[in-house]
Amino acid sequence: MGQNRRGLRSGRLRTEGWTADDTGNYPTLVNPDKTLAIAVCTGDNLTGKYDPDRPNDKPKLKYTKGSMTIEAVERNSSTPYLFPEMNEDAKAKRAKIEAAANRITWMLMRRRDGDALFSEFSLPWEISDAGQVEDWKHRIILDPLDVDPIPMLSDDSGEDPGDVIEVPVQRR
Amino acid sequence: MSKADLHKATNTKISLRTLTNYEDKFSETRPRYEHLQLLSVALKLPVEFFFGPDIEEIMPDAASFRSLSKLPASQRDAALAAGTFAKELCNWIEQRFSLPEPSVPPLRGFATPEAAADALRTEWGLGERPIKNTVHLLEVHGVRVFSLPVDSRAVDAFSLWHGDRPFVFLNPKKSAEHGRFDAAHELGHLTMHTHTVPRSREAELEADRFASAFLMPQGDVFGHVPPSSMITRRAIIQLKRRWGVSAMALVNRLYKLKIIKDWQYRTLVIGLSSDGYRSSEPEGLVERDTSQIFAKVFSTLRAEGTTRSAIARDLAFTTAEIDSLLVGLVMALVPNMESNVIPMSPPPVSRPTPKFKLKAVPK
Repeated sequence: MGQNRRGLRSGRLRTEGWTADDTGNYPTLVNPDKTLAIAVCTGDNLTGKYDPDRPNDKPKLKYTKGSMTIEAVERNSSTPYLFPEMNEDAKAKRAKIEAAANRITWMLMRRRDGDALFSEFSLPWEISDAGQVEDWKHRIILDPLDVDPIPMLSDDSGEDPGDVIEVPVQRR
Repeated sequence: MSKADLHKATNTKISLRTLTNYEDKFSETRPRYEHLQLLSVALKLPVEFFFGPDIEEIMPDAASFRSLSKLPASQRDAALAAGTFAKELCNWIEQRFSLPEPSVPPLRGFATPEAAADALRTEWGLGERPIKNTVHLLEVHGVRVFSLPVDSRAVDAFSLWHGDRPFVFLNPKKSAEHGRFDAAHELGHLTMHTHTVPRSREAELEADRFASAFLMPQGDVFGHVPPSSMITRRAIIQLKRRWGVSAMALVNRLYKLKIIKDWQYRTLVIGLSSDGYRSSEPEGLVERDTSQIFAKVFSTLRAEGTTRSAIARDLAFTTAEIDSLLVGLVMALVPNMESNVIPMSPPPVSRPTPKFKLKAVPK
């Protein structure tokens, strides 16, 4: 989890003001006005796939989650659903009022299959008391990524960063 | 070196009046040969030096210095003298080797030094990766990098344009991290303050901000630092290696990027200072950034049988002078195979500034 959240942070999200949030020991990334959160988790083998012939196939979490996740998902489906069709002004105003109390938590769910990383960016909508997501409001399937046999975001210790530069020097 | 110093250095055998006459370019007085020998010893210059073509001296306002306020004029002049000799050595090398042409674009008119640093990274295709060797990077873009003579402790580094050729001088006595930062700082002067005279405190701060952003690009820093609660002194010391910067430089960058807060910044600075990180760099880089040009040039010359003393003879330098321009930039200077061919001059560490002009005396 830590590594994946770090991976997200390394992208533009952080420069756009997204920050790490650990409220209740539930690690997420939250946007500047704290209305949106992203949690990173591992999914089962239906993660990152959509088969038009089997539209009812839904991915599940590989591991069931605890009370903070349950609370977050329940908040998703009980919150007046804010989405881009609202005009910017209204959205900002509403975001301020409802801020953290109505935070929407998306999940970046991924699974590794050999050298491929399947992932999807999905909004969990129903969750069981045991902490398993039962239904999703939205699923954004991301293209699978080729990954090296080494972990995607390796620790930097021992790494020798930077490119080797060849300076051309020719005898006249 | 003042005239009075020179007078003393010749054991008062040359009078002040005579020295004044020698220095005066309008004077018809020509130095006597025995005086040249005395001057040669006093100035640690081979006698041949006085017969060479006029050297174009570097004037103080052509160069940019860090720590200018702290700098005594004599040290500044010694540094500039090194600059003059480096230019001569560089010309010698360029007559025999083709080296990269300068590609240091002028970056004036950017809102911030950080924006200029980003623009230069884009221009040079560096992305947001750390810079492995700052000297190689400067060299491949046509900047000639030399060392400052070791006694110029008060000078961190300086840079200058000679025509359209940029030069950077680094102090080999500073830590490897300090040297990398100085290289980037001077690069900032070369790009942002092109051909102007950056003497103000403001220009120095701009060059520091440029160096900080250039060595530690925002995206790469965000991608590699832990949450701020985990940024301890220990973490800083581990992290600094990625960018090859000093612990203090990294703490400043993290503060500037608002990754750490005021109290955390203060705590880290106080802690690192008490661990000695303000004056030196414990757990620093093992090796300084070295020059690729000199490594290649001198290994080719060595294979051809040309020694440094032969080069020195060509230029009427001493071998030690050549070495002092290269120390810290070349892994290990190969021991000289020939004895010093200029017995008149004991090997000096560096050469005092020849402040006077002597006319050539016909033999």
